[in-house]
Amino acid sequence: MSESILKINKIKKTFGGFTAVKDVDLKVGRGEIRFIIGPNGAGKSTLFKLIIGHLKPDYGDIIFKDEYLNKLEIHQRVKKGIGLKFQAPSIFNEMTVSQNLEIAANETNLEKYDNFIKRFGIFEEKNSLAGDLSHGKKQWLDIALASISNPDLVLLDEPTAGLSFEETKKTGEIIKYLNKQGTTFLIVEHDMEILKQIATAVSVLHLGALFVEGTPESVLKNKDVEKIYLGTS
Amino acid sequence: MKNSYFVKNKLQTTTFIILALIPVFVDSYFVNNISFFMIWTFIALSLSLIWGKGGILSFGQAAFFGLAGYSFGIIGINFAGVYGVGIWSVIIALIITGIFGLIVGYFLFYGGIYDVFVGIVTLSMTLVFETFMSQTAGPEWTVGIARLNGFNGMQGMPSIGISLFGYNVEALDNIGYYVILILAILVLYFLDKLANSKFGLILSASKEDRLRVQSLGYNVKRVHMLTFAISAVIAGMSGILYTNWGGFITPESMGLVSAALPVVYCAASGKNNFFAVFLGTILLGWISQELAINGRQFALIFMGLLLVVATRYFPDGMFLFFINFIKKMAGKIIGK
Amino acid sequence: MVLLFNVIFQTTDAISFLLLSAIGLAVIFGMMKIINLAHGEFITVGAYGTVVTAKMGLPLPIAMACGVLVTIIFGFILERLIIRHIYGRPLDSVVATWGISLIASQSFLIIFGPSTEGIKSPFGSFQVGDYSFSEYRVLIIFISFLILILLYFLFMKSKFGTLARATIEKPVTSSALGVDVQKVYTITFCIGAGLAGLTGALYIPTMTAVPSLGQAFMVYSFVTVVTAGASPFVGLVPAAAFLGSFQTGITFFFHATIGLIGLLFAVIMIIRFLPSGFSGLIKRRT
Repeated sequence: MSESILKINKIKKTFGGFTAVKDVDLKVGRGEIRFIIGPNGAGKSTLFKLIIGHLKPDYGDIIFKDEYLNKLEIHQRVKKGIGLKFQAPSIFNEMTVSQNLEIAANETNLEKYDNFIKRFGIFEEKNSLAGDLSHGKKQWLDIALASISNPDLVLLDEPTAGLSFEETKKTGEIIKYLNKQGTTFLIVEHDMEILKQIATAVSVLHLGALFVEGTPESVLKNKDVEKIYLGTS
Repeated sequence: MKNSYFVKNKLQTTTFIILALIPVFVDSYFVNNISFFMIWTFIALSLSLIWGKGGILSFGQAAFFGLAGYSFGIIGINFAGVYGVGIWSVIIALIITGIFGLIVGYFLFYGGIYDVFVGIVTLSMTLVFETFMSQTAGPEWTVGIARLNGFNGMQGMPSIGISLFGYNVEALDNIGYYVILILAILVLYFLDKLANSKFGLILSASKEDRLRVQSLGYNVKRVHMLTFAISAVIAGMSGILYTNWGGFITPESMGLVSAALPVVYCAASGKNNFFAVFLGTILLGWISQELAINGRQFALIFMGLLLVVATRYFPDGMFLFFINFIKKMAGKIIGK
Repeated sequence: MVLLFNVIFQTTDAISFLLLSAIGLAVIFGMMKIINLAHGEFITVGAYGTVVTAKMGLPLPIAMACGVLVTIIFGFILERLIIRHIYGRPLDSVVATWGISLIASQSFLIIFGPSTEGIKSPFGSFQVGDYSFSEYRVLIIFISFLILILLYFLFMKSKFGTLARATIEKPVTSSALGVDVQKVYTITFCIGAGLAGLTGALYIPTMTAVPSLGQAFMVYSFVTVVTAGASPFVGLVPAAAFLGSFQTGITFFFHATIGLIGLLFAVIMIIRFLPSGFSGLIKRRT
């Protein structure tokens, strides 16, 4: 059993004439909170979709817990122990919070998840319609859906989009708590505050390729990274 | 378990009791009419399952109606006289229909066909059946000893029924009425259980956000394929009962108008509510029969109007609106 | 040699028939993603409008223009009353337009009766070997390609076209930029209706006037639009060319009923194996 829970080898994706992701190698170790950042158009979303199986790569391998995921569909990859949350909150608005969680947990009796749900700040709203929640609580519910079945790896695409400063901090705390329980995180993000709060490793993408990798401190201090964000590179 | 459905749904239970008592009070003409209207509730409910609960608009229900009807007829004619043929021809016809439903469902959903394209493909499939069967007029078109008979349709099949203790019990007239009523109650009970089960929850969630359900580990294509097959079998029940009622089945049952009928029943009644669809279909059947006396065109114009008005003003169905109104009134009266 | 000419003529005739059958539906589906099941009825309105005004003594081209005008008005009324309230609900648009189709077709039956005396096709015929061909149908072939070219310029090169395409793709953004989105939708729908009316007007001299005449086009319209794919301007001509050749081939070798079943089967196969139609195929290669 290797140290890396997720390995991405030389993955490439083109759309027509445009190369969105080129030869990206990535290794995510167990227990990490890995952030993937990069300016707009860097290929972060495409990479995310490739990992979860929403897109098929032109070539390259995706290896999870030493198993090749390439031929598997989304639901099959999830069953292997991956939880995921898309960019826009995709909860089931027409159903109650409880029903949402029942689907994600694959159980009708949610009693043993009470503490878990309380951590996400949505316990009081258990019988409310998910569509009636505030934007922040919708994002938390979405993250809860991704993690309630206790997966080994959780993939989050911009979990703090549209959240206030306080809500972002709380999101960071939730992720840190789950991480302590043993969950590895791979997070695509723009927000540097949450990165500073919880990231253990950072990969920077630029124009579809891996630009630089390292600890949060080293990446944030890196002048070249600053340049690509300012567009002077 | 059975108690809780009938206890919880007082309106439904009351309706069933009323329907059960009707033959005691009215003559056979009226009873036969209600039988006929109830026959159509199955195909309407089948669409309500796949469209109302599943979010998938299929025009294939008429194809399954015809397939089951013709299968029932072919088996019945070929094995007429064999003990119990009136029962097991039904069962085999339904199995054939279910298998076909699975195959079509596989082709559709595992092939990535969704949204309006399901409608186009299923409508094309239904019309292929109709066109093909319409040109089977020649004597060479037989299955065993059953002549398909093209445009004029197949007839001469034995009725649903069985010989018990030397008596022929056939599902016609009053006995037929109760057979259909009991089947309807069973189907409504089954659909209610299905909707409230975990399968039903996944189905409803998939209607809202297919990708999210997949991303939570569920094989949505399989769920849709199974639902489609179940709805095919239920639609087939209408086909068999219809063939039994009149003693014949024609390709017209798979034509454009026939394909539109379940859509009208569901859209007008409230496709999301099984009981509304059940009652609405009976009511609409009665209304269109009255209109058809004045000319088929008027019945069809009425159908078209229902579709337009329902879609434009009552996306949740007009009949459901009416039922909820009655419930509120009844609640107020009992509350007093 | 004569046989070759016959085949070429039949094929081109079939292709232009498919193009004209599809163009009204394609504009509405391609631009607004609405499946208009009343498309056949628009064709019927154009046809009957032409017949009625021609019988009143108007010269044929004027009568056809009247047919088109009546269809545009019909489309406009429908858009205002019903269609505009169901944008963004594709399944509901299928249901609603089917309802309109039922109402319209049965109303035509009541108003005009099961058949009406039609009008004769203009011009004559010409001989090639043992076969005679209608000069009028040759004219239709030219007109169909002319319409296609005009539409291309309208939607691709004119200001309205650019506005229309922007609105359809990003209605909220266009609205924020000051475009009257509703007006664009209405005009586009009316153009689609008018084109369908034109199809009816052009073909009625070659057909008997029955209320269900428009529905006879429907299968062909749908097959062609589905084959063309999401971008009608890219995919329509290749789709019509492919299907026209396919159909002529089948008719030469088999029965007409097999032709219909073959077409329905083609729709199913194309949706399954070539979901973005010919336009998707073309776009991927370029």
